[in-house]
Amino acid sequence: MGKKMEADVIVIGGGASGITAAVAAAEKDASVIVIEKGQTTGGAANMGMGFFAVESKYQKAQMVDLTKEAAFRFFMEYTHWRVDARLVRRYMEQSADTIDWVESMGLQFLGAYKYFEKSFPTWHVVKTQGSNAPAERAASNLFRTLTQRAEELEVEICYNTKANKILFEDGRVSGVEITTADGETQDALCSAVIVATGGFGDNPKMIKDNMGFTWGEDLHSFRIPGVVGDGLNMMWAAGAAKSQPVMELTYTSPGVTDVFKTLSETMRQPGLMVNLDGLRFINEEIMNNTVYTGNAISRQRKKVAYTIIDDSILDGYRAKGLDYITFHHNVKTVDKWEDELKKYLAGEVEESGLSALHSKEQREKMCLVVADTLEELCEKTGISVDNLKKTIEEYNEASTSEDTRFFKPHRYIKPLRGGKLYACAHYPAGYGSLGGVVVNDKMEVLDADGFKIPGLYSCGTDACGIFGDSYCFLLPGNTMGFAVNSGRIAGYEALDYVDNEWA
Amino acid sequence: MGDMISLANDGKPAAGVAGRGRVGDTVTLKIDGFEVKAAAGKSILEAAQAYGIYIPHLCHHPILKPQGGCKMCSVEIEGRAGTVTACNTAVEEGMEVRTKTERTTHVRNVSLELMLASHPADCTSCAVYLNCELQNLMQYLGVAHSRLRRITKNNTGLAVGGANPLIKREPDRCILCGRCVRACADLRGVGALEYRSRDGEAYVGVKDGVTLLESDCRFCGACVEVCPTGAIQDMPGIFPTGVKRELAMVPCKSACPAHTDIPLYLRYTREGKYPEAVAILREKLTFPHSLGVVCTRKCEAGCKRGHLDEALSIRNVKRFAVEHDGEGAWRSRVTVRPASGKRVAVVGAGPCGLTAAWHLQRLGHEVTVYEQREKPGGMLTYGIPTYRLDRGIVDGEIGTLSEMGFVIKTGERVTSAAKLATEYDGVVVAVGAQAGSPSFLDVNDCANAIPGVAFARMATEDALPDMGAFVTVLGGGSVAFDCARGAKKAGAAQVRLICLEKRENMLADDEEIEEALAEGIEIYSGMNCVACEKGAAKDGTGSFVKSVTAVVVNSFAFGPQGLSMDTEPGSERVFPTDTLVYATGQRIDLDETFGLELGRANSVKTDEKLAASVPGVFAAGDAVTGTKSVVEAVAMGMEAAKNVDLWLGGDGTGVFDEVYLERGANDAVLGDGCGKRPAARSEDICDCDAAKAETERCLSCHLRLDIPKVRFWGDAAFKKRGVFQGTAGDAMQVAPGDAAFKKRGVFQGDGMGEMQDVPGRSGAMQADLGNTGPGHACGGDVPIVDIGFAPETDCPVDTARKIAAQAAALSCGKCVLCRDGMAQAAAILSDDVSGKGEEADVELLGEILALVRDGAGLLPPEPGASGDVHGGGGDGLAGPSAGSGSCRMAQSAAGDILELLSSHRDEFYGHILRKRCTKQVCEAYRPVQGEDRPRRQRRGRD
Ligand SMILES: Cc1cc2nc3c(=O)[nH]c(=O)nc-3n(C[C@H](O)[C@H](O)[C@H](O)COP(=O)(O)OP(=O)(O)OC[C@H]3O[C@@H](n4cnc5c(N)ncnc54)[C@H](O)[C@@H]3O)c2cc1C
Ligand code: SF4
Ligand code: SF4
Ligand code: SF4
Ligand code: FES
Repeated sequence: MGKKMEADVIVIGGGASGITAAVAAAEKDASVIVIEKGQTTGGAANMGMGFFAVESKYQKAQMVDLTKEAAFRFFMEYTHWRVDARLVRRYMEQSADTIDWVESMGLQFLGAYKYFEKSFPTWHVVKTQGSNAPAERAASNLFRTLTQRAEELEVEICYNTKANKILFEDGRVSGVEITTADGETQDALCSAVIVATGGFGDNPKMIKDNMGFTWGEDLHSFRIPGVVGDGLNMMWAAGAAKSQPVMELTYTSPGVTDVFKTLSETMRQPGLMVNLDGLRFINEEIMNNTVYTGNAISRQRKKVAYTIIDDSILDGYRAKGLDYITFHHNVKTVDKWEDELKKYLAGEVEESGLSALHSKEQREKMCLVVADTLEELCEKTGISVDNLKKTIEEYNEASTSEDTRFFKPHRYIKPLRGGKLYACAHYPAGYGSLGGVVVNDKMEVLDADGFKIPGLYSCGTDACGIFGDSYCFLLPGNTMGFAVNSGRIAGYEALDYVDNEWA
Repeated sequence: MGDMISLANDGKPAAGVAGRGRVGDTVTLKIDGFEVKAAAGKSILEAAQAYGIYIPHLCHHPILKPQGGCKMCSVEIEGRAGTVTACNTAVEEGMEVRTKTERTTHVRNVSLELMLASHPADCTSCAVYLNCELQNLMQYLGVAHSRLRRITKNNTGLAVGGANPLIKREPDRCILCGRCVRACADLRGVGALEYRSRDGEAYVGVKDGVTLLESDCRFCGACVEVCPTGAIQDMPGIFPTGVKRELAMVPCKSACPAHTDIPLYLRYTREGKYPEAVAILREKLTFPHSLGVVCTRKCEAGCKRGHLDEALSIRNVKRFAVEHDGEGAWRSRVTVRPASGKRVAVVGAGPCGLTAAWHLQRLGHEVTVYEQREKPGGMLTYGIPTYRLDRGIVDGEIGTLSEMGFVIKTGERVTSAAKLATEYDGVVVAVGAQAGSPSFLDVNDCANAIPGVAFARMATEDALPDMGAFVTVLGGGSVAFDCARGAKKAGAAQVRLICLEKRENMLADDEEIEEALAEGIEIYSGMNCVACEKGAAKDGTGSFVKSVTAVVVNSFAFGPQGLSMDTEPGSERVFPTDTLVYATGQRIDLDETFGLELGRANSVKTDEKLAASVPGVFAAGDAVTGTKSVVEAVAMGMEAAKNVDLWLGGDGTGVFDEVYLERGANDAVLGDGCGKRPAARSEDICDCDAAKAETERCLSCHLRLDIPKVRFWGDAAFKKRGVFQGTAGDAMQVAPGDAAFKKRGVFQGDGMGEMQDVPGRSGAMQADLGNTGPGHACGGDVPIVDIGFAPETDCPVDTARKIAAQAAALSCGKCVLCRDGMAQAAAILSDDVSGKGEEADVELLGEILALVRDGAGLLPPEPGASGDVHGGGGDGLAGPSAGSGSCRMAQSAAGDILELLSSHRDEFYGHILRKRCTKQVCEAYRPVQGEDRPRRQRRGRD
């Protein structure tokens, strides 16, 4: 048995939310222990680039016309008031101050960005060393900063340590059972527990049971290793009320999107998209809102959709570059199209390390097909040929006049004029689960009757029920924003409980 | 260049060199202002780590020779120009080292950026997420890949193709740190991996370009253990989860219920040191000889080699070792504690009871064993058939144990444990599972229907009744097979075995099944008896079985309501039967009168400390678990002994802590034969050669535990100094690109003139410096880039591109600056010659090339000096001024490019800003056909 472990607050999970909660509580003078399964803090958010805030000094400097009030109204409209308005208010109210707060610890930001054209610039992208360009994984800087701050405040971070169970005494939280790096199991004692284990994106069974998707078949979401629902299961076992988890949907072409960036980005341009019936079902202009597009694709037969282009359209991209350029992939041209296509068709995806993480079916599925005729294309994809012919006629016609079906702006309607045809299948994907336990605006976990479980707090993805049925991509940076801000709230509130109620 | 260090022949620094002290001496130096003492010969990195000062590092691993390739550990030394790599620079008396300066930050950050340029941008699908040293460093240094050109690599990582069942490769995640190469070559002495090059690109792969399976790889896993990224991993499912790492990494030991130190006794057996091997066995096993014959071999089911080809023949090796133990050297090592004055009763003299008795007696308690039968040994004596286990072996082992001095009272059945508890200070109930479960067929009143255990016992006592011609055995486990085979051996004409499970799911060992088939026993698997025909017994007392009827079972499940089956209609078959043996489960031969709380099948209920419902009474073995195996009985007997000892006021040590052979340090080097493939498993360990051959097959999984873990920056060890103190945080905030180094950006301002001279070369591009010199990471055989430049006809920018591309292709792959720096320069320059140049390229190129040329900020070493050591080639450490930078190939190539571009600055800028190539060499800038070529040419100025 290891050394005795005891603290005011134990945080389970040292990810975005957990490490923030630890710093918040420790700044107010709590003794804090963080239990982290991996060897690095920051969890999934190490992959992120920035997070949400409204009325920050960056937005003010950039003259962004979005107030807290407007953001709140917009958000509640978006969610049809089906979410906790008090929590949303508190989160948004605190968000700008959180930017200053982490800056005071030494973090730098590049500014406030949009994620795509129609979104608001709420995404505060973290600056990386030596570069002024936004970069994937930039947010890992935030977690170095917070971790250093935590260490300064004498937070004890236990790496490679797994929490198994929340312990109770007299109906209130009394500790956590943990297993250390060398496999020793022991109890760590505390007065409040903050659970922040990041949901269950890496647990296909929970995904199936809670959201109905079959991972690898009709869902190809990210699976951050180890995010298997530990925290939710512990809280449910402790009597926490269950809320309906949702998936932060996007869309993907397995074996293409993650390996061949040019192929993927080209096939994700706002061109023609049809379902298996050969019918359009979306104003493709919104394809850069990956949530909306994921939602729309999920509604189609077999949850799949195809974008179709031909050589004439490719030639256009060759000459002028791509229309939609995403921040993180930053593919602007189709220079690598031929090379990547050759590799893809030669099956080299098999040899790629990334592909090793796909299931066998995913690897064997050819998402991108090339054909000389429409008939061949439909044969290969299973799209209804008669309908597709009519759709293309209608679409080409629209390019000379207007899109009377879905009102897509004219500049994105590129007619299919000839040459080889390319179709790419898109499936729902996602970033992982969102939500699962009911919390109030103090991030206190509630039981089935709506009363708080004394000493039990949750924040971040485990507790993120503020989006309703669909993640709000229009205010980008919201998952990490909620994680960091709810962590901060949980940290303060947990300590308040220890000081004023527990003692 | 000041005090150059000479290396003695053995690669160790020569003694007495100014300042560095003799090996064994202690030197005092300052690191980040803290006074640090370190043994002479230690590296700065080791010295810092020992004092809790964090210096980032990636290619360094505490157990491997330093290579100095990643530049993460760059530090500055007071009074010396540039940076040196701390991992391969020795400490010196009075040295003042600074680990977190603008310059070190710059070198580290750019080096990391260069590595990331070809690394997947997405970690989300990576299995080592949050356990990755690279990811952790990215977080610490705050660096991402955004500034540089994305490099697509074609063949990083262990040879593409050729999957194997043990090591999983994700080549794109390889950062060419070479740890795996060094672990394989230097640590294990195998050398299956190496730096290779293909299509102008260095990569780490398998020697000779074959697959791992075709190579000399021994699958010891050292490479996986040291890999900082997700590039090589263990195939999931090889190691058990949820157990301590110490056990998990040695799956045979983990799977063995007694956790015998298997790899070690295999090693001693290999070396022919049988007494040593047995000493290790004896630490955990009281019946090693019997187990060497009849053990259920759980260890072999866990064996890692089982995933590769076939598991080790662990059990049979054990038997061979025990039979060649000689005097039994272990005996003299057994610890016997002084008498405690406490008395313990053990009920049942099976393997479990006798194990508990032996240990408790050893611990000083006075033990009496009660056994109801005439002989001790439990199922070893009365269950396991004599044709499988010679009773001489059992008797011999019991004799050996009895020497400890406990008393066995045979022929005494204990009727109440509660009563016994009043007479003794402690009681162990180890009564086994001695009764057959009643049959589900209504045959309990039939004289010719016999429970399996009873039948087995009769067989061991040579007391089988007259069985008639047709014997039917119900059940598919070991006991059923023992009964069936026993019946056949005793002369039954036809023996049929009917069992519920299909062949592939039968509980018995494959070996047993095959032997039974060979002996002519008929097996009806996937069937179950549903009825039986009875007749009145001839003597009129009760009835007897005439036949049983079985049906084909498609599927079945055991639920709370018992067995449920889906049977095939019309598949009924009648088996005429003279003797029916039902070996379909055993129960514990106890009832409430015994005075203990009982559970399922009358097993004794215990808590996790094996304590039964009456204080002082403990229970173990089959009596608790239901019928299991000898080795599990032994393991539980030890557990019981430990708990009884604790109960009696002992300290609980002394049972599991017995050491009969002192462990020295393991030999990390794998001998010639160790783990070699192919090598077929052999069951028949008949002589020393066979024992050697079989034990050589062991993959030595335990050696991995000797490899220390690398400490991440958040490790508590670094809490006090370095990482978290002002210095670190502050330095981290300096955006390196903005600082003084930019001044070194040789193309800036009017700064072409600032271009520094590269010693030893004139402007000629063919400058031949010979090769890079011995002792360098590359081993000294990398030729200098040789590309001609004719000022009149060649484009300087395109020539620069060619130099960069060739330098990248020549790179041995070990140093990030040369390998990735030149690849990056080539990528930027090829954009610049094809119309895709950007203004920022000028600065970027300058920054990268200056770093390569100056060897990470260090002044370039003089040609031919022995000082341009940076590890790898020799195992010595470099002196601080010896150079921890790039090799001379890279330095001269970078210098050439800088010089070329500086002296043709207009042409360089022209390519980027005005998109033109005066020499008309670069294709992208040639006028398209039909355009007026002369006119364009006239505009050129050079
Ligand atoms: C036919 C057969 C074949 C087997 N083959 C193998 C094999 O190949 N490999 C393997 O690993 N395992 C095998 N097993 C299982 C293994 O033998 C048992 O799991 C093991 O012996 C259990 O040890 P134990 O000490 O708990 O119980 P036992 O060996 O059953 O010993 C219990 C002892 O307690 C005595 N006893 C019971 N009640 C009392 C009482 N009230 N008072 C005094 N004494 C009492 C019994 O007479 C007996 O001697 C086999 C079992 C059988 C029946
Ligand atoms: S190896 Fe490390 S840095 Fe690379 S993808 Fe995996 S986690 Fe990320
Ligand atoms: S595979 Fe080898 S060279 Fe590549 S990262 Fe791992 S240890 Fe380093
Ligand atoms: S290979 Fe050797 S050490 Fe590894 S599991 Fe098998 S027997 Fe044990
Ligand atoms: S750790 Fe020293 S150079 Fe890599």
